[in-house]
Amino acid sequence: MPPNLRALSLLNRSQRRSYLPPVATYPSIGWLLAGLLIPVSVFFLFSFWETGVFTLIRTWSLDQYREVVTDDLYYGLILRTLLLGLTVSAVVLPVAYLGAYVLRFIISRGRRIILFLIVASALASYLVRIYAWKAILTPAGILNSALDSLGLISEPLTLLGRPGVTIALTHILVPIAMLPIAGAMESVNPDLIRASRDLGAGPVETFLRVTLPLTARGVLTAFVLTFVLAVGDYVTPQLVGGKGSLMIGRVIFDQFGITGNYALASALSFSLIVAAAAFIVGVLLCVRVLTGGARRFGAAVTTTRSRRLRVVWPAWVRRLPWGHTYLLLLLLFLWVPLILVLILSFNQLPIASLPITGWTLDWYREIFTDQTIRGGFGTSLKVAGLVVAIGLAIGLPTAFAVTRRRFVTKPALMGAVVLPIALPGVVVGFSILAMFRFLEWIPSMRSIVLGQVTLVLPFVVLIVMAALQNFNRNVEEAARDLGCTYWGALRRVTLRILLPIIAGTALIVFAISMDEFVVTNFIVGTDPTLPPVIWSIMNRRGIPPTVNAVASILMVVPLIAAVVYMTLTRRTQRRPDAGMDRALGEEEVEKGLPFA
Amino acid sequence: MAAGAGEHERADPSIGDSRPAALVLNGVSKYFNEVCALESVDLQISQGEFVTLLGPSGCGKTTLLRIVAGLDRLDTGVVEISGHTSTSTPPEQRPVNYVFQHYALFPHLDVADNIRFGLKVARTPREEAAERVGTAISMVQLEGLEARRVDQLSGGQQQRVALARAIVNRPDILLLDEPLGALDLKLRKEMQLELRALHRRLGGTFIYVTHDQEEALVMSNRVVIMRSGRIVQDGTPQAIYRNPRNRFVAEFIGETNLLAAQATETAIIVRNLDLRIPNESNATGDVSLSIRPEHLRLDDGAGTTEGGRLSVGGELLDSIFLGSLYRHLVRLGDGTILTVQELATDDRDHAIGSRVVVSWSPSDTAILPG
Repeated sequence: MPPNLRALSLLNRSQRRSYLPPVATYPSIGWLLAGLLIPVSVFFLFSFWETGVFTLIRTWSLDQYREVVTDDLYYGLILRTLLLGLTVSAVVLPVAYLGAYVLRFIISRGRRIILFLIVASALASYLVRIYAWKAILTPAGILNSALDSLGLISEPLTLLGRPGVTIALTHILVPIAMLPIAGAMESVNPDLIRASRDLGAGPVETFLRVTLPLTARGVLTAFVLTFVLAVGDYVTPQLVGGKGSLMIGRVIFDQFGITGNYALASALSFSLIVAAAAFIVGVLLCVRVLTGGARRFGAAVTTTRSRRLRVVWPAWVRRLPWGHTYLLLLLLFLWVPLILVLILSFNQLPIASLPITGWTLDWYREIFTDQTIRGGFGTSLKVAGLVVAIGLAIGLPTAFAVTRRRFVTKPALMGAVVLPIALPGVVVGFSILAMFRFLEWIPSMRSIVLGQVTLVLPFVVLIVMAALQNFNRNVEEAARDLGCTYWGALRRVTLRILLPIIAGTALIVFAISMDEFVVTNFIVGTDPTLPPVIWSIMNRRGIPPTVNAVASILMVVPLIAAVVYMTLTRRTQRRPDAGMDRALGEEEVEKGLPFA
Repeated sequence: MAAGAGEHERADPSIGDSRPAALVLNGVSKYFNEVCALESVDLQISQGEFVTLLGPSGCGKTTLLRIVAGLDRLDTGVVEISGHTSTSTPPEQRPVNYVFQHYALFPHLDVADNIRFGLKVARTPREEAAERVGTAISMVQLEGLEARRVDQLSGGQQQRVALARAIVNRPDILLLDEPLGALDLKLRKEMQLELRALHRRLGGTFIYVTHDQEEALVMSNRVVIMRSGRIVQDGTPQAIYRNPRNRFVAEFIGETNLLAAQATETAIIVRNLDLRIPNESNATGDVSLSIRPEHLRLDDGAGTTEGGRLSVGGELLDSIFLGSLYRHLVRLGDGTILTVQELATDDRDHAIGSRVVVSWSPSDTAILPG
């Protein structure tokens, strides 16, 4: 080809560098601007203003930051909160990792059902779970009363406070942390571990050199999720924290309702974000240095192994069902508190204590006649319906565009899309509220929908993207080849094949919306959804036993939905290229892989 | 040299030229980012031909097929299908159908619905569609499996569904992208013969992509060899086998022995082996002599070689019995190892390690550039 022609063809080639994001992403971009980027910017602006009582004085100053940095109450709180986040992560990550490991490599029977039970526990309402721990841990609560009636203690144990917060947050975060870790483990071929053993690495070295590095990304994702959620939580410290476990989230929240000092709330929020980000970066750097060390340690293990006496466990010890035992304990930890709430909802006595002396349905009868609860439930349904519809309508095109189109601004867009889950909930909530105050709009159902769609967008985009990345595009091309237009192929084939995943996403979004509290609590108007209603009931002096009944319903309904969904999609939920897998010979997962 | 791109001519002009063209490609180029996948490819295929595009992976053969189907856009050039310029026609409007390497069956549809898909999209009347689907199913011998889910089928059965799904639309050109690649050897051989039979029965144009040279020889009446986005040689299997254009083709199609030589105006000389043959080609400079293993003959050195045959002496390294054939490996004086293939009619036993003479006729020697 002549050189000039060739140059021309290079200019005309189909993959030109595109800077602008595709049009399909515009609705999401618009929504993120309105629901997150602009509110957070406005809120950020607040921190440079002065404050009166429930008003802002628009003069520039750095006073708020000066106060945060100099007042040991504030920076002490930030530090304490970060330490709590670290403690919780340090408990959650090993528990979740071991769970995911056992599930992937040790056991072969019952994997699906166990994974389902673990994830399903996360579907049970957030507020309900914290409440369950409160019912268990309070001085006159289930644990103390049970221990007392067994004669094991003479006076109640103090369990609220830091231990209570850690336990409750662990309970909430283990299922969430397990998802990215289990995802990373799923992609580790068990043959790699066998190969490592075959090549002479012992179990410890295999773990340090093969399994851990291959799953490191999942662990880091889990760490960031766990840390951010723990740091931004203001509900758990309030309910199970007791005295002396005030956390920064709570202080920020109080600026909203009690003190009305928006400027300080803003300065505290951004100090928290900066501190948390610095902390995460610091931890990641440490991990990086340490993992290098771990590999060296692995090498040291090999070199010394021959000289060292190896511990050989007797066969009967190795044959014990360690994997199933661990998972059983994990499931008990996740489910017993929830089942206790369910049992208490039928308790005749209006106090949370064991053993149960008589049964009743009175509490259920009571909530069905309670106007506030019924109103809250109605609003929740409406909001959830809207959030599902809008979330899918703007999230699906974005997921398609991000997976299938190339554009230079893609990393920035993805950053913005995951920002709602990367920012502490207290900041997101306060920001939207701040924007509404700034524009002198009154929070209403619209503000809830605005906030919640922003929150669920990352889930829609990330889940659908993962599905699309595994989607065999040849199938879509086959449809084109057989006469379908672009949109026809999308409708008849692509969306049809992805239907179970889209339905699953809708279900998850619905559950998140019904249950969302941390952000929603800031932006409810006169027509609150159910979780803020329950929160206000819980905050009354002496929690009424009707809460047990509401909590049970909140817990059981998403579970039933999940079970129905699982049974409905059982047949179709195979991967689109399952047939090809079969042709190539399916990978089998064997029992008894060595890490023990 | 003569092996340059785009200069290929049809080695056997007797094929197909009298029939109208099913496909014409003119100067087709395709770039992925800055990487050239196809460079100015010209190709003409007549109606009813069974053409194989053959080449190593990454040579652009699949890209070429996808461009014909309209699944990839081309950067320069013209595509003409059945006499119509189709360069930018979307895939759904082209009278061609594609059989994907991994079948790309619709997992949400059963066997019959997969096959019916194209007819349904084209809104073919129900009775006609049912009849055509029935015919296609019996043609690929899938009777009784109509209601099966596609992931309940074996690899071979999935392959047949993919084939039926394409041919039921009666495309002008059927495009097959390594459709047998995922099957085991036995099934593959069976399917090769079935595809040949199907082509004879349907009488349409088939374009078949493979990297398996043996498959290319079995299947088609015309082979187009590609390398690095260019067509290297184009002709009947026989012509390509006998007269490979260059070393790449000679080594890619079948097995061959190559000897490095120098061509002068009058003679070609293999210096190391002290061989000299008259130069009847117009090649000069460094050349390679290509001799197919079955054209070599092994003597124990005692017998005389008939006049005109070339011969070299060497040491027998190994003799492998292959049922109908023997394969001998002979090391020559300069270290070159020749493969000799002989029919195993009589069990003449050459002792391994003994001195032997390898001989061949000058007419079986192909002179290749480079």
